[in-house]
Amino acid sequence: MMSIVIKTENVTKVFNPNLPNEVKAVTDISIEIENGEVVVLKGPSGSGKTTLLSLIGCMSRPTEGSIIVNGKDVARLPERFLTKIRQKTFGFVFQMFNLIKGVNVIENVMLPLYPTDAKLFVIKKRAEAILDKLDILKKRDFKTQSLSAGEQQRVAIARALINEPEIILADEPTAHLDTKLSEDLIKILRGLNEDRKTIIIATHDPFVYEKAFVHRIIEMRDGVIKNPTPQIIPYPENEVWDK
Amino acid sequence: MEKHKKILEYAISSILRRKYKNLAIIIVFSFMITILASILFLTHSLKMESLNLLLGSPQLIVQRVSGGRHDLIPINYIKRIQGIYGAGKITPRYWGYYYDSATDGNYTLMGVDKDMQGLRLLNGEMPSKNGECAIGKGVSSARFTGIGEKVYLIDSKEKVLAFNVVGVFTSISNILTNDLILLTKEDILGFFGMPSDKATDIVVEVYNEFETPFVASKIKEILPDTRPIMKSEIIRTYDALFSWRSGIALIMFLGALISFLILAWDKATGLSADEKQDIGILKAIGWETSDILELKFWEGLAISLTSFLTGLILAYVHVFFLGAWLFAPVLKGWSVIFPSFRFFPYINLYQVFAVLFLTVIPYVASTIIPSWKTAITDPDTVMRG
Ligand SMILES: Nc1ncnc2c1ncn2[C@@H]1O[C@H](COP(=O)(O)OP(=O)(O)OP(=O)(O)O)[C@@H](O)[C@H]1O
Ligand SMILES: [Mg+2]
Repeated sequence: MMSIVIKTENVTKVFNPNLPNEVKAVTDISIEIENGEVVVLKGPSGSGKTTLLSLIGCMSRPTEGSIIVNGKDVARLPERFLTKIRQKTFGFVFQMFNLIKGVNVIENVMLPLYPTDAKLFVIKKRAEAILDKLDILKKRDFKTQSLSAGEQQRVAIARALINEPEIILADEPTAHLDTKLSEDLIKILRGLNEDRKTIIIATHDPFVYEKAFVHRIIEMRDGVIKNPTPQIIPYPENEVWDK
Repeated sequence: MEKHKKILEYAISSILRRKYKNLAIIIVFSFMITILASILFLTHSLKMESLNLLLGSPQLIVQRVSGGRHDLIPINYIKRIQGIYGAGKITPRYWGYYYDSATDGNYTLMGVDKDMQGLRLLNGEMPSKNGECAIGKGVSSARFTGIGEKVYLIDSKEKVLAFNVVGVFTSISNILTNDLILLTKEDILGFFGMPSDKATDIVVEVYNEFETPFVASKIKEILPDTRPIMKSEIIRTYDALFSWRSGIALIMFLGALISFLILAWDKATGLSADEKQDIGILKAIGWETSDILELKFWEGLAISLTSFLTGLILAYVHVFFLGAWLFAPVLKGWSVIFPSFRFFPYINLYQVFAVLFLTVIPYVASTIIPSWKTAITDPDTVMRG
């Protein structure tokens, strides 16, 4: 049964309001995303993809409009509730990875669960399992800055998964990857979607949005949605995926 | 509980991650605390020492003045003073200063008096025969000598005399006995070449403390060539000395405080871009503002407590083992009067807490406040820089 997990209503985000450097990053965005969907936010650089993803992921608050996550309007919630939602609902894979420099791979992955009452060894076990699944366990004790972009990407994904989020937000996940690594990444995302995770990807890489596992593409330009009635691509039940 | 443990562990690993920066902070911070605590230890110790000194000093001392200078006082003055109403026991004292070129120190040579106040023997006994002496700890350590050994002194006729050490002094106050050499009265007279009908000064006990000024003015009236010195005057002199010394100390104290405030201000106004980024990331991956504050609290506490303890230990060693050599210029006058003087380790817990509050708390606050400002900002904005 499908249910709506994310809904934005006339969301507008203005940076530096009433200042000479005012920027309207997104304007009047209304979208709905269903549970288990894979949605791509597509658009050129500066079109507001990251901004919208941040708004959905409760990393920032809209200037106008409301954002409903699992039936709850988060736009006006105090910061500490937003943190709770971030922690319980979302796994964020950032455009720049945003791993903590000088901290090794496994600890970076474990960090989201530090401020919880889970025992350290339990968290470590879980982190190892995820790293293993992403085929990067052998680098567990490396400092993140010594890893290649593709490896850092996978560590960032592992970190996004440690709290078992229902929604994964991935910002330009293939930006730093070659074709082979992009392929691997798609496989990982597809696997997650098979586990019924909702996935929202911001990208302008056709390699990603042309893939069959993407259910829907929302095109953005200059902060607005270009395709007013988002095109729905039927779920490719019987398709044989390229390996 | 588990949560706080993990945050604490991460705080420690964060400190180690920026080890050069934090080491630099700890070094500067420890040094400041060393200076601050040294000043406090030193002034407190000096205050306590002189307080002890004063407690043991007589009510009224009568000196003779001739040509504006301290001169020997005739013993027969005692009879004249005895007649004054209110005057009690009157004792002549035989003493003088002795400059020892070998150790570059001034010693006080004094004739024995059966009831010398405030003095206690650590070891041995008072000199009872000519040729015997008791010495202070300062003398004993400067001359590398002790009971059963000898002290050699050059008398007023350039003759080297040997005295057998029969006792080494201790007392609550180091100042009182540190530079003291006690001889028999006859030996003192001979040593300084003093005539036997004269003393260095005369101590007058006054039955009623409040009558001291009266007795003093009476003495001055009967014996115009004398100068009676009251204990209250000495106290005033000491007060002046100490307010001067603590004035210097205060300036240094304020200097240290100001440099600390600058450091704190520097920390309060700016987190490095990396630190901000890290806070933004932690927030984004689900850390609450309170978790960030806890992390920064542990970081600040660990750094400032380490510095505090290091500084305190260094200050203790500096003042009580190394004779506060950093302050040598300020204390120069002191060390000439008191050779090889070791400050007695009086510690005032109140002062230790004062240092704690003046350093640890502002530092922790200066770590937390800017982090808090960053932590309540949208993580998206923070991470974009
Ligand atoms: N914190 C901010 N302050 C000021 N302007 C901002 C801020 N964040 C984003 N912007 C502006 O908002 C607009 C949208 O930015 P956004 O990062 O969302 O675009 P994007 O589609 O993700 O671009 P890219 O493909 O380059 O990542 C840009 O013009 C950007 O400069
Ligand atoms: Mg972007």
